[in-house]
Amino acid sequence: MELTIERLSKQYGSKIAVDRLSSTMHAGVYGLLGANGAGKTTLMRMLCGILTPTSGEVKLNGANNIELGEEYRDVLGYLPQDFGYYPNFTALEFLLYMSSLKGLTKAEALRKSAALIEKVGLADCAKKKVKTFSGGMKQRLGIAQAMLNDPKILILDEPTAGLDPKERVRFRNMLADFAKDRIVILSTHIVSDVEYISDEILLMKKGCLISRGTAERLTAQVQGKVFECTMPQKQADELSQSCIIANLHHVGDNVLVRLITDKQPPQGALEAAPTLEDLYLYCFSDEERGAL
Amino acid sequence: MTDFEEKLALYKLEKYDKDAVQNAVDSANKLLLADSANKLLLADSAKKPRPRFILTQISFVTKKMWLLQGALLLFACGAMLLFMREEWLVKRILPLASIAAPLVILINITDFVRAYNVGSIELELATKFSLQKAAAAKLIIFGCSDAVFLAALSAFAAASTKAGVLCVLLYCLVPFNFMCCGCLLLLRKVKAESFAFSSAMLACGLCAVVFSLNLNIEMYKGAYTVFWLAAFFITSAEICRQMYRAFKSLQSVPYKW
Repeated sequence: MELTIERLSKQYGSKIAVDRLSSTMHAGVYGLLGANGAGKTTLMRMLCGILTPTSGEVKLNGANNIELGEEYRDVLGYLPQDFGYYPNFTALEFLLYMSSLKGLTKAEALRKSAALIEKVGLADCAKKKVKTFSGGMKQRLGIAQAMLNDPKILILDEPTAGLDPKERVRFRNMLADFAKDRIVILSTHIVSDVEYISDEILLMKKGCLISRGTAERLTAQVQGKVFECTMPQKQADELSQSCIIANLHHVGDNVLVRLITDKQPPQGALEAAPTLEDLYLYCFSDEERGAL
Repeated sequence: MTDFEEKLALYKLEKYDKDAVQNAVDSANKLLLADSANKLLLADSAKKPRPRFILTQISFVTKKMWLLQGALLLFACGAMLLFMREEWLVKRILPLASIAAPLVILINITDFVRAYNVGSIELELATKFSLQKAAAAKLIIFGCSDAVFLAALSAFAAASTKAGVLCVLLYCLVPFNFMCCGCLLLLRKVKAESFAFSSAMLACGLCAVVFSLNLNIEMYKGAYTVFWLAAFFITSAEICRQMYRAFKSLQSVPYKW
């Protein structure tokens, strides 16, 4: 199976949300990393066929996704970022409703709903109304509905938002089992999720794909730019004006600083092994500052 | 003979297959046809036959809805049986039928409106079957069940009053149509959470109007049939118009992003 994105663009008036993005995906887990407003959600909506691109195409095995229509959506599972739900439905009723839209028969719907509710840890709340659920529980329900039709392409927009660390680990393990022979695309701000489960990571900035590769290959881009050193608080404050501060940790009167810089580091700084988070900060720190 | 000539003499030319080119063309044609046939098959299988899709959707309609419809029919017919015993109450049978007809829509609404929430549209746009298709299927299902309900109600009322079945059907369909028009209008104008309550109020209002009109005017007499027919045609046209606008409003949602 091959999902091809060919020079995909989406423009709203003068604002370009996605700018001539091209990529080819085969079975595996793809992590989409980018700051707020990078165009990740817009891209995902175009991949799902919800949004019509301004130009370019999304193709599944050579056929345009919008032209395929039902055939494409039959193999698609989607969890949007703002997961709307029906407050008066119970969890089971909601999954049955989504099953009817996904083309399952009643018998299949009952069987799969029960199995998925068990898998996402909502078995005790299956007959409770969704409006009584916490954010994490709603998110788990959303993940369950995305998997109802056993999709070949699973698109998850911020799937771990609202999940505690235990739930995130559970989700990662579930996704790892699920991702065999399937294309899974997930966007998240939680770098560690993407780092551990993605076969390939795509970095998006201002609507463009700026880099892609394995976590190791990407973090190599910031090799030799990450340092750690201990310094007085005042010096750390001054340094933050010229460098990216990845972490601050107070040690007595001093501060242990982890910094990312292209320039000469302060005296006494030791080179540290870069992480994906360092790469994220290196690539997107200017956008984060702009947002603040 | 030179070396070259000897080698040339020893060289054996492979037999030329006259049919090779034609065979290659035929094989390519077969492959192309097979590929096209596969694509057509895929396209056909992707489009589930409508009756099968509707049958699948029937299984997802809640049992509560079917039970309520059955209960309403039994209640209406039971009341008619009681009215038949007292001759002066027989003329109340037809208004009872007119009042019961809109109530059946109220039962449908409790099932239909549970899934009508614009906030969840993004999720539903990525499913195999569109929201419009599922909504249309449900309306067809409810329409058919309501048609059966009205036919049974009309037949019972006609037998009770010895009136013509078609006339009785008309007395049921006009308030039914008014209720449909009102609900379709509310669907576009009112928030999803208030829709069921608003529809219930509409049903109560309509029943009150039918009841109060009947107290003053014997509107089930033959002289008023023309008015009933006019009301039927006008409300039917209005239903078509409202349904078109309701579906159009569903289609325009994706462009909000």
